[in-house]
Amino acid sequence: MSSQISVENRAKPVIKCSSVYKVFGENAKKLLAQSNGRIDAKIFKDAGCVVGVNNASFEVYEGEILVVMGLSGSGKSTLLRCISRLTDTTAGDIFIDGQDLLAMTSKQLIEVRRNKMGMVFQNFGLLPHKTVLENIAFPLQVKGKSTDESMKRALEMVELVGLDGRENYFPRQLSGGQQQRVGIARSLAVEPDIWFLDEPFSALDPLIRKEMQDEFLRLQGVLNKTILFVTHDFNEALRLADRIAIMKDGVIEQLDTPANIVLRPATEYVRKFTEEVPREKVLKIESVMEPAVDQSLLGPLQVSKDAIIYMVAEAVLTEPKHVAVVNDNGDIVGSIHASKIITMLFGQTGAYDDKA
Amino acid sequence: MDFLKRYPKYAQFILLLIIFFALYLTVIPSETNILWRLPALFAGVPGGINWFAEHLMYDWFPVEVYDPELEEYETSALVRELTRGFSRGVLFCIEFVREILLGGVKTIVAFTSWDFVGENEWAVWPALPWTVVLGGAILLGYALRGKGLALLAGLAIAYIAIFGQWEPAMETLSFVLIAAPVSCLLGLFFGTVAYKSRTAETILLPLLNVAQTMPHFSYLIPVMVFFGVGDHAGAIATIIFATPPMIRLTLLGLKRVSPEVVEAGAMTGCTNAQMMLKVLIPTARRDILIGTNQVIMQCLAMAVIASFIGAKGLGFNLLLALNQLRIGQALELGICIVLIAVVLDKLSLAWANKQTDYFADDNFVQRHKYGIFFVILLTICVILSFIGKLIFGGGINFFHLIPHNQGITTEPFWQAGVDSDG
Repeated sequence: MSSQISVENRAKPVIKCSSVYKVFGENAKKLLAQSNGRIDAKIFKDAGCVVGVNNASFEVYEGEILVVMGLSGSGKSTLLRCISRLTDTTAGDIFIDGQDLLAMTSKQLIEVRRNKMGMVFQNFGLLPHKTVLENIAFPLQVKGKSTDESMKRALEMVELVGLDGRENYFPRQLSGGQQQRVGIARSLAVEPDIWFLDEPFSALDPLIRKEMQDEFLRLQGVLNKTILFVTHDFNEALRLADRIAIMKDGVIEQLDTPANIVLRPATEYVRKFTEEVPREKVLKIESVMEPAVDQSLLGPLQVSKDAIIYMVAEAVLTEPKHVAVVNDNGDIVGSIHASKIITMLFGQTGAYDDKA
Repeated sequence: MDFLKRYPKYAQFILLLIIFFALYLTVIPSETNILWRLPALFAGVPGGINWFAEHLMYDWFPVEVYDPELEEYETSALVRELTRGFSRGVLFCIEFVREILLGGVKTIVAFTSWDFVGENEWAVWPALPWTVVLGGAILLGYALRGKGLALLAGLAIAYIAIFGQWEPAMETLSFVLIAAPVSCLLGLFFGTVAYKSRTAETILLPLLNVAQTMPHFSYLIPVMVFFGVGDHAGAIATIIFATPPMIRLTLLGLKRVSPEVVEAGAMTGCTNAQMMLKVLIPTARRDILIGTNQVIMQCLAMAVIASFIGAKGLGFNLLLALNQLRIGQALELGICIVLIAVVLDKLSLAWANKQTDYFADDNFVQRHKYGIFFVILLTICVILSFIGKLIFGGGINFFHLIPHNQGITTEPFWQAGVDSDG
């Protein structure tokens, strides 16, 4: 989806972070001022401070899924909490739709949260004393909507996440996957523009996780929110992301499209992650296709540019001619030949290039 | 030496032994020796406290107050007037509930005067027939939970009425119905304050430790000094005693709310008040309900002790029964206290757990069915009590109030056990 983000959107990021620092500890501000933005982890550690986020600068554009990936303790959740202002940022600037988030009064912040932000939590964060319906309606009631109106909207959300018939269940009566559906429905009830997801599927078992990822992509297909998604699962990141930010010790090591991260890891740390990833299962045809060739060279087979290579490899390999690569509208945007797939599957990884 | 280096603990121990024996041999046992007996440095303190309390209550900061009964101004100490005023407020609340249940004139007197009541014979609040309270309890139990609770509440109230403990039981109930909610609210308030502010917590916790370890009786004297004797003093002592566990459990419950729930509340845009009332306290409900349960239990436990400083009701009768070794009566009274405690606890629990049905499309009658039932019940029972007046004539109207010790009793059975042994 990254290629769909137009130039105008890039000019107006929904979330913009510049040099965001989060240091835990008593003298954090003073130490940070002394260090002039250059953090020496050892000095901070000796002073009893822990660096959560170290000089994070990036932008998230409208309709984009940015996945922040990192192992536990890498500061990814802290970064998310800085952007949602659940924790105070030590230094730096965060802008939401051009508004300075850190300068907002608590009243303004409440308004922004009530109307623009939704958040999903790892352990769901549901209110145990409220039923599914009441949980989903809660953000609306907090806003002061009437009971009738909020219940009606909550029922729509119940339907959207496929929990029909369980409106009056309590969270404790639901499975993990169902609870997270409630969490998702609640975060979307106020129709926020920005959707934060903090390891939403990490507490679920693998089969349910896969199902919820599909559900997530389906919802995003319908709703087209601006999404900041935190996960420690690299495969999940690859599956969902338009762009991935990989964090280590509070530093964003690399921020790029999944294909670029796999093909061109910026640091040794990122490379280690991508090493194990089977490329054909991650990359889309788009990233290995060649410019469109003459019509006469094309076979009858057509593949979508968004198709994962692995899924179409067999078909392409049995096609002696070039295969047309088409976009969502059916226009031919490139071509691919079986030989390319063979190199891809068995050859050197550096032998091809990314065209995305 | 090598041994001592390897085991420094033994070295310490031996050193301490040496010091002990050195002191033992050198200190001369004599009353004048400071090392033998500490002089009574604080001897004046208890007397000082006594003087301070007396000064505070009788002499300090005299003010002119108007006495409506004597119809003239008199001088009194400020603190004394404040505490007396507070006592009157508490007493008024207790009397108000009590007179709804048992009838009386004091509430009317509070708004008019004794003369007014004396001149107008009609100016008496009639007692609620015990059948209304019985029906009301059943209805309340049914409305809040269902048949089980209705049955429990009904049996408990019926027991109290039939065994002739109605009046003292209602006196105790009126006392508890004031003390318990006040304790709960105070506990919730201080608990949330302690949760919000670390300073408040560090100040409160040692106070709670002291309050909870102090024997129950030790509250009575200061309360008596400052607030006098009577139901209000009993209620105040009870509140002081019942609040600490509520504070503690509120704080514990709030602290146990998972940080994600707090964050979820914040992200939905809760204001501070919404956060506390709609997210934190309901989520911590389990612990807070244990707190209210504790409060109710403590209140009824104090019912007996509070009778030492003038609280009327079951506790006072129990105290008398104890003094006269009337084991059967003491047993029946004890059961009454337990039943009141259990019913109140279950009702409060059911009330807190009650769910709202958002899809019910009810008309007026359906929405207010319990209210309507209660009005019907009230009418029927009042009519019944008038009929009772006709049936029993000038005797005891058993359909209205069953006077003390006029019900059935198992006392002789138990008493036989004591007497035959004696």
